[in-house]
Amino acid sequence: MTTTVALFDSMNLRDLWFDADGLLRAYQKATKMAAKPRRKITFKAIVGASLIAATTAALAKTPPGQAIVTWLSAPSEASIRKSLEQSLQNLRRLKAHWNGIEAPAPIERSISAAQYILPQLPALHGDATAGVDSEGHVFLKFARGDRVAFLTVEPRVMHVVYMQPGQATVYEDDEQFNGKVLPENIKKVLSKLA
Amino acid sequence: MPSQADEHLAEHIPDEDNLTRAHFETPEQIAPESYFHFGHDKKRDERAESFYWRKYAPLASDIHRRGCNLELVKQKRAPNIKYVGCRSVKAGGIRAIETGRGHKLVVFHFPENGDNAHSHVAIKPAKGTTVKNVNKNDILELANLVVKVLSDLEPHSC
Repeated sequence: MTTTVALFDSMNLRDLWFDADGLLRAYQKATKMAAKPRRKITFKAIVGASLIAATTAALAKTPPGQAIVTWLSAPSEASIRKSLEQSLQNLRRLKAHWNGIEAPAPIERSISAAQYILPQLPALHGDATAGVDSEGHVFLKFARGDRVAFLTVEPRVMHVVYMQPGQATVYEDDEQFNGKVLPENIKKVLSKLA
Repeated sequence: MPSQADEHLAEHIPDEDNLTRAHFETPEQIAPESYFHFGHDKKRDERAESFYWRKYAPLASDIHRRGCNLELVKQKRAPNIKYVGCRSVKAGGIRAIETGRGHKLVVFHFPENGDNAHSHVAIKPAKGTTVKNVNKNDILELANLVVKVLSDLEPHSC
């Protein structure tokens, strides 16, 4: 029988029927590795059962009705600046009458100046977005909790207002600006958001 | 139809009455204060924004209908603008607003084009300042204070 099977294997006749002990039988290769997969399945079953047990135990400890909350990390300085840059970029798409009435298109030199001074802004925290006033000048809005600051950027002048509940509002009006360097007075006010 | 105020029909708006602002948005995601320009109306020497007095538009659908009509008008100039819903505030909440430099807001009934609900929220400058000369910081501060007192958006899509 062993000789017959060996001969059969050597001739690649596995798919054929063969005669063994006077009977016509289909060849079935002996499954030498059968024990190994069984071990694997057993191992997987043990690991799986352990995981299910561990998870069930952990969930069972959670009081009913209590949600598991995962806090998102606060936006990073880089992501705030990037979002502000994107917000300014969006303003470029606004055309005259963008609000459906009399609003002028945002002034390109105002947008460019705002973009230019972005890297000079003090450390940014919270939310920042851009907007446009009734004359088409750009303003940047910074909000951190209940503190808010608005920086209006005109090509040659800047204005900033900083509001904090319970504190006197801080204003810097008509601060001269050379289009390149963020004035120190403005920086000082914006630093209050840090 | 030219804008025509029916001022002789104007009534006092009590502090406890609700005012509602139709809210429009462009896809550019700009700061909400951008929608409160308080632009200077030379003819009336006024810096005002429009609201609806709920006495004459009590249902949300009354506001949404006006918003959708306005959307059509605005889209002639700004095809992407959309009416997205409305926000409300008590008239007294607006009247309580005061900036650090003493500028306030007044609320008054301003029937216009046959709409009896139309009202104005206008800047009342601090002593020593004219309406025309209210500066940018003060306008942004007022706009921010208005945005803060408005209720959450009652959303609507036309």
